[in-house]
Amino acid sequence: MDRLNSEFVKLYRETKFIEYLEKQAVLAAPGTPEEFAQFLERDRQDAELLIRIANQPREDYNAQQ
Amino acid sequence: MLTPWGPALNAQTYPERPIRVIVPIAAGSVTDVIMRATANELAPRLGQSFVIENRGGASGIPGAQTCAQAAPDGYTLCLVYHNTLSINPLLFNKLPYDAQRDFTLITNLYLLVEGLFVSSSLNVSTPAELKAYAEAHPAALNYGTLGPGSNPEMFLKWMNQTWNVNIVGVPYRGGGPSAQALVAGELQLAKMGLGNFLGLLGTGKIKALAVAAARRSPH
Repeated sequence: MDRLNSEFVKLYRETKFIEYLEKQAVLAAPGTPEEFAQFLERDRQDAELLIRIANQPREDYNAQQ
Repeated sequence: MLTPWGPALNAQTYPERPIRVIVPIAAGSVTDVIMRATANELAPRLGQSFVIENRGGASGIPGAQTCAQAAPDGYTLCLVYHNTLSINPLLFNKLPYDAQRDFTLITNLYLLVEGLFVSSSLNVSTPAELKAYAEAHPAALNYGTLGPGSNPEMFLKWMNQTWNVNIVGVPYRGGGPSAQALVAGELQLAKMGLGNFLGLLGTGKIKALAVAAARRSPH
Protein backbone atom coordinates (compact mmCIF):
# COMPACT_ATOMS: atom_id res chain seq x y z
CA MET A 1 0.00 0.00 0.00
CA ASP A 2 3.04 2.28 0.25
CA ARG A 3 3.02 2.85 -3.51
CA LEU A 4 -0.64 3.90 -3.47
CA ASN A 5 -0.16 6.20 -0.50
CA SER A 6 2.88 7.87 -2.05
CA GLU A 7 1.17 8.41 -5.43
CA PHE A 8 -1.95 9.94 -3.86
CA VAL A 9 0.07 12.10 -1.48
CA LYS A 10 2.41 13.30 -4.24
CA LEU A 11 -0.49 14.34 -6.47
CA TYR A 12 -2.38 16.07 -3.65
CA ARG A 13 0.75 18.11 -2.85
CA GLU A 14 1.30 19.37 -6.40
CA THR A 15 0.52 23.07 -6.76
CA LYS A 16 -1.48 22.61 -9.93
CA PHE A 17 -3.68 19.92 -8.39
CA ILE A 18 -4.13 21.89 -5.14
CA GLU A 19 -5.34 24.83 -7.25
CA TYR A 20 -7.77 22.51 -9.06
CA LEU A 21 -9.08 21.27 -5.70
CA GLU A 22 -9.53 24.81 -4.41
CA LYS A 23 -11.73 25.54 -7.44
CA GLN A 24 -13.92 22.65 -6.24
CA ALA A 25 -13.99 24.26 -2.76
CA VAL A 26 -11.98 21.54 -1.07
CA LEU A 27 -8.67 21.75 0.78
CA ALA A 28 -6.00 19.13 0.14
CA ALA A 29 -5.08 17.20 3.30
CA PRO A 30 -2.98 14.14 2.32
CA GLY A 31 -0.77 12.31 4.80
CA THR A 32 0.45 8.98 6.12
CA PRO A 33 -1.92 6.15 7.10
CA GLU A 34 -0.94 6.88 10.73
CA GLU A 35 -2.00 10.52 10.35
CA PHE A 36 -5.24 9.31 8.81
CA ALA A 37 -5.83 7.07 11.84
CA GLN A 38 -5.17 10.00 14.20
CA PHE A 39 -7.56 12.15 12.18
CA LEU A 40 -10.24 9.46 12.51
CA GLU A 41 -9.83 9.45 16.29
CA ARG A 42 -10.69 13.16 16.38
CA ASP A 43 -13.39 12.67 13.76
CA ARG A 44 -15.10 10.06 15.97
CA GLN A 45 -15.11 12.51 18.88
CA ASP A 46 -16.70 15.11 16.59
CA ALA A 47 -19.26 12.52 15.50
CA GLU A 48 -20.21 11.84 19.14
CA LEU A 49 -20.80 15.55 19.67
CA LEU A 50 -22.82 15.83 16.45
CA ILE A 51 -25.02 12.89 17.40
CA ARG A 52 -25.55 14.40 20.88
CA ILE A 53 -26.57 17.85 19.63
CA ALA A 54 -28.81 16.35 16.94
CA ASN A 55 -30.37 14.17 19.67
CA GLN A 56 -30.19 11.24 17.27
CA PRO A 57 -31.08 7.82 18.77
CA ARG A 58 -29.14 4.66 17.90
CA GLU A 59 -31.13 2.45 15.55
CA ASP A 60 -30.91 -0.71 13.43
CA TYR A 61 -29.61 -0.15 9.92
CA ASN A 62 -32.34 -0.86 7.40
CA ALA A 63 -30.98 -1.60 3.93
CA GLN A 64 -34.35 -0.67 2.39
CA GLN A 65 -33.97 2.98 3.35
CA MET B 1 -9.16 6.53 0.83
CA LEU B 2 -9.18 2.91 2.01
CA THR B 3 -8.81 -0.61 0.73
CA PRO B 4 -10.30 -3.84 2.10
CA TRP B 5 -8.21 -5.06 5.00
CA GLY B 6 -5.10 -7.16 4.59
CA PRO B 7 -3.96 -6.95 0.96
CA ALA B 8 -0.99 -9.10 0.05
CA LEU B 9 0.69 -7.38 -2.86
CA ASN B 10 3.69 -8.01 -4.98
CA ALA B 11 5.23 -4.58 -4.53
CA GLN B 12 7.50 -5.04 -7.53
CA THR B 13 4.76 -5.60 -10.06
CA TYR B 14 1.71 -3.84 -8.58
CA PRO B 15 -0.49 -2.72 -10.24
CA GLU B 16 -0.82 -5.34 -12.96
CA ARG B 17 -4.45 -4.67 -13.88
CA PRO B 18 -7.07 -1.89 -13.63
CA ILE B 19 -7.96 -0.64 -10.17
CA ARG B 20 -11.62 -0.38 -9.13
CA VAL B 21 -12.61 2.64 -7.04
CA ILE B 22 -15.88 2.65 -5.11
CA VAL B 23 -17.30 6.16 -4.65
CA PRO B 24 -20.19 6.32 -2.15
CA ILE B 25 -21.73 9.33 -3.89
CA ALA B 26 -23.67 9.73 -7.16
CA ALA B 27 -21.85 10.59 -10.39
CA GLY B 28 -21.67 14.31 -11.09
CA SER B 29 -21.26 15.26 -7.42
CA VAL B 30 -18.12 17.13 -6.46
CA THR B 31 -16.72 14.08 -4.62
CA ASP B 32 -17.13 12.00 -7.78
CA VAL B 33 -15.74 14.72 -10.06
CA ILE B 34 -12.60 15.02 -7.91
CA MET B 35 -12.12 11.23 -7.81
CA ARG B 36 -12.33 11.07 -11.61
CA ALA B 37 -9.77 13.90 -11.93
CA THR B 38 -7.53 12.05 -9.47
CA ALA B 39 -7.87 8.82 -11.46
CA ASN B 40 -7.00 10.63 -14.70
CA GLU B 41 -3.81 11.97 -13.13
CA LEU B 42 -2.76 8.74 -11.44
CA ALA B 43 -3.54 6.29 -14.26
CA PRO B 44 -0.47 7.17 -16.39
CA ARG B 45 1.76 7.30 -13.32
CA LEU B 46 0.71 3.82 -12.18
CA GLY B 47 0.44 2.47 -15.71
CA GLN B 48 -3.10 1.20 -15.11
CA SER B 49 -6.58 2.61 -15.55
CA PHE B 50 -9.10 3.19 -12.78
CA VAL B 51 -12.70 2.01 -12.98
CA ILE B 52 -14.99 4.25 -10.91
CA GLU B 53 -18.09 2.63 -9.44
CA ASN B 54 -20.70 4.94 -7.89
CA ARG B 55 -22.64 3.51 -4.95
CA GLY B 56 -24.44 6.54 -3.57
CA GLY B 57 -27.02 6.99 -0.86
CA ALA B 58 -27.86 5.69 2.62
CA SER B 59 -25.11 7.61 4.42
CA GLY B 60 -22.35 5.83 2.52
CA ILE B 61 -23.31 2.41 3.89
CA PRO B 62 -23.86 0.52 0.57
CA GLY B 63 -20.51 1.85 -0.68
CA ALA B 64 -18.66 0.74 2.44
CA GLN B 65 -20.43 -2.63 2.36
CA THR B 66 -19.31 -3.20 -1.25
CA CYS B 67 -15.78 -2.27 -0.22
CA ALA B 68 -15.75 -4.56 2.82
CA GLN B 69 -16.90 -7.50 0.68
CA ALA B 70 -14.34 -6.94 -2.11
CA ALA B 71 -11.26 -9.15 -2.41
CA PRO B 72 -8.41 -7.75 -0.27
CA ASP B 73 -5.97 -7.79 -3.17
CA GLY B 74 -5.21 -4.08 -3.54
CA TYR B 75 -7.34 -3.76 -6.67
CA THR B 76 -10.36 -2.24 -4.94
CA LEU B 77 -10.02 1.22 -3.43
CA CYS B 78 -12.80 2.91 -1.51
CA LEU B 79 -13.51 6.54 -0.96
CA VAL B 80 -15.29 7.22 2.31
CA TYR B 81 -16.67 10.32 4.00
CA HIS B 82 -17.43 11.58 7.48
CA ASN B 83 -20.29 9.11 7.96
CA THR B 84 -18.55 5.90 6.97
CA LEU B 85 -16.02 5.38 9.75
CA SER B 86 -17.13 7.91 12.34
CA ILE B 87 -20.87 8.52 12.51
CA ASN B 88 -22.37 5.27 11.23
CA PRO B 89 -20.73 2.91 13.77
CA LEU B 90 -22.02 5.13 16.60
CA LEU B 91 -25.50 5.45 15.14
CA PHE B 92 -26.44 2.09 13.64
CA ASN B 93 -26.76 -1.47 14.92
CA LYS B 94 -26.33 -4.24 12.32
CA LEU B 95 -24.03 -2.28 10.00
CA PRO B 96 -22.95 -4.50 7.07
CA TYR B 97 -19.28 -3.60 7.65
CA ASP B 98 -16.89 -3.19 10.58
CA ALA B 99 -15.25 0.24 10.52
CA GLN B 100 -12.38 -0.90 12.76
CA ARG B 101 -11.55 -4.28 11.22
CA ASP B 102 -12.60 -4.40 7.56
CA PHE B 103 -10.31 -1.75 6.04
CA THR B 104 -6.70 -0.72 5.59
CA LEU B 105 -6.20 3.05 5.66
CA ILE B 106 -4.34 4.64 2.75
CA THR B 107 -4.57 8.41 3.18
CA ASN B 108 -6.85 11.30 3.95
CA LEU B 109 -7.34 13.29 0.72
CA TYR B 110 -9.11 16.57 1.41
CA LEU B 111 -11.42 18.59 3.61
CA LEU B 112 -14.72 19.71 2.18
CA VAL B 113 -16.07 23.24 2.50
CA GLU B 114 -19.85 23.14 2.89
CA GLY B 115 -22.62 25.63 2.35
CA LEU B 116 -26.30 25.96 3.20
CA PHE B 117 -28.14 26.81 -0.02
CA VAL B 118 -31.67 27.96 -0.55
CA SER B 119 -33.88 28.31 -3.61
CA SER B 120 -34.13 31.97 -4.66
CA SER B 121 -37.91 31.47 -5.01
CA LEU B 122 -38.21 31.45 -1.20
CA ASN B 123 -37.09 35.06 -1.03
CA VAL B 124 -35.01 34.54 2.11
CA SER B 125 -31.45 35.87 2.40
CA THR B 126 -30.42 35.14 5.99
CA PRO B 127 -30.76 32.24 8.46
CA ALA B 128 -33.15 34.43 10.52
CA GLU B 129 -35.41 34.93 7.50
CA LEU B 130 -35.27 31.18 6.81
CA LYS B 131 -36.34 30.48 10.41
CA ALA B 132 -39.27 32.91 10.06
CA TYR B 133 -40.32 31.30 6.77
CA ALA B 134 -40.10 27.79 8.25
CA GLU B 135 -42.18 28.87 11.27
CA ALA B 136 -44.87 30.28 8.98
CA HIS B 137 -44.85 27.26 6.60
CA PRO B 138 -44.64 24.00 8.61
CA ALA B 139 -43.65 20.91 6.58
CA ALA B 140 -43.53 23.00 3.39
CA LEU B 141 -39.75 23.12 2.97
CA ASN B 142 -37.84 20.14 1.54
CA TYR B 143 -34.17 19.81 2.51
CA GLY B 144 -31.72 17.42 0.79
CA THR B 145 -29.91 14.81 2.89
CA LEU B 146 -27.62 11.86 2.08
CA GLY B 147 -29.90 9.43 3.92
CA PRO B 148 -30.84 8.57 7.51
CA GLY B 149 -28.07 9.51 9.95
CA SER B 150 -26.09 11.44 7.35
CA ASN B 151 -24.36 14.62 8.39
CA PRO B 152 -26.86 16.84 6.50
CA GLU B 153 -29.75 15.02 8.16
CA MET B 154 -28.29 15.55 11.62
CA PHE B 155 -27.85 19.25 10.86
CA LEU B 156 -31.54 19.28 9.88
CA LYS B 157 -32.58 17.63 13.15
CA TRP B 158 -30.56 20.16 15.09
CA MET B 159 -32.15 23.02 13.09
CA ASN B 160 -35.69 21.66 13.57
CA GLN B 161 -35.18 21.19 17.32
CA THR B 162 -33.40 24.49 17.92
CA TRP B 163 -35.81 26.57 15.86
CA ASN B 164 -38.86 24.46 16.75
CA VAL B 165 -39.80 24.12 13.08
CA ASN B 166 -40.63 21.22 10.74
CA ILE B 167 -38.40 21.22 7.66
CA VAL B 168 -38.66 17.90 5.81
CA GLY B 169 -35.54 15.83 4.97
CA VAL B 170 -35.44 14.14 1.55
CA PRO B 171 -32.60 11.67 0.80
CA TYR B 172 -30.45 12.05 -2.34
CA ARG B 173 -27.45 10.05 -3.55
CA GLY B 174 -25.07 12.98 -3.64
CA GLY B 175 -24.50 16.70 -3.78
CA GLY B 176 -24.85 16.78 -7.60
CA PRO B 177 -28.42 15.41 -7.65
CA SER B 178 -29.29 17.62 -4.64
CA ALA B 179 -28.07 20.74 -6.42
CA GLN B 180 -30.11 19.83 -9.51
CA ALA B 181 -33.19 19.20 -7.33
CA LEU B 182 -32.73 22.61 -5.73
CA VAL B 183 -32.69 24.29 -9.14
CA ALA B 184 -35.68 22.20 -10.30
CA GLY B 185 -37.74 23.21 -7.25
CA GLU B 186 -37.97 19.69 -5.75
CA LEU B 187 -35.88 20.98 -2.85
CA GLN B 188 -35.88 24.39 -1.24
CA LEU B 189 -32.80 23.79 0.93
CA ALA B 190 -29.58 21.81 0.81
CA LYS B 191 -26.41 21.75 2.91
CA MET B 192 -23.62 19.95 1.10
CA GLY B 193 -20.22 20.53 -0.47
CA LEU B 194 -19.90 24.05 -1.81
CA GLY B 195 -18.31 22.71 -5.02
CA ASN B 196 -21.64 21.16 -6.04
CA PHE B 197 -23.28 24.58 -6.15
CA LEU B 198 -20.60 26.96 -7.41
CA GLY B 199 -21.65 26.68 -11.06
CA LEU B 200 -25.28 27.35 -10.15
CA LEU B 201 -24.81 30.45 -7.99
CA GLY B 202 -24.49 32.62 -11.11
CA THR B 203 -27.88 31.49 -12.44
CA GLY B 204 -29.79 33.46 -9.80
CA LYS B 205 -31.83 30.34 -8.98
CA ILE B 206 -30.08 29.58 -5.70
CA LYS B 207 -28.50 31.58 -2.89
CA ALA B 208 -25.91 30.69 -0.25
CA LEU B 209 -27.13 31.41 3.28
CA ALA B 210 -24.04 30.21 5.11
CA VAL B 211 -20.69 28.62 4.34
CA ALA B 212 -19.00 26.40 6.93
CA ALA B 213 -15.24 26.30 7.37
CA ALA B 214 -13.54 23.08 6.31
CA ARG B 215 -15.52 20.33 7.94
CA ARG B 216 -13.87 16.96 7.82
CA SER B 217 -15.53 15.04 5.09
CA PRO B 218 -14.25 12.79 2.32
CA HIS B 219 -11.16 10.97 3.51
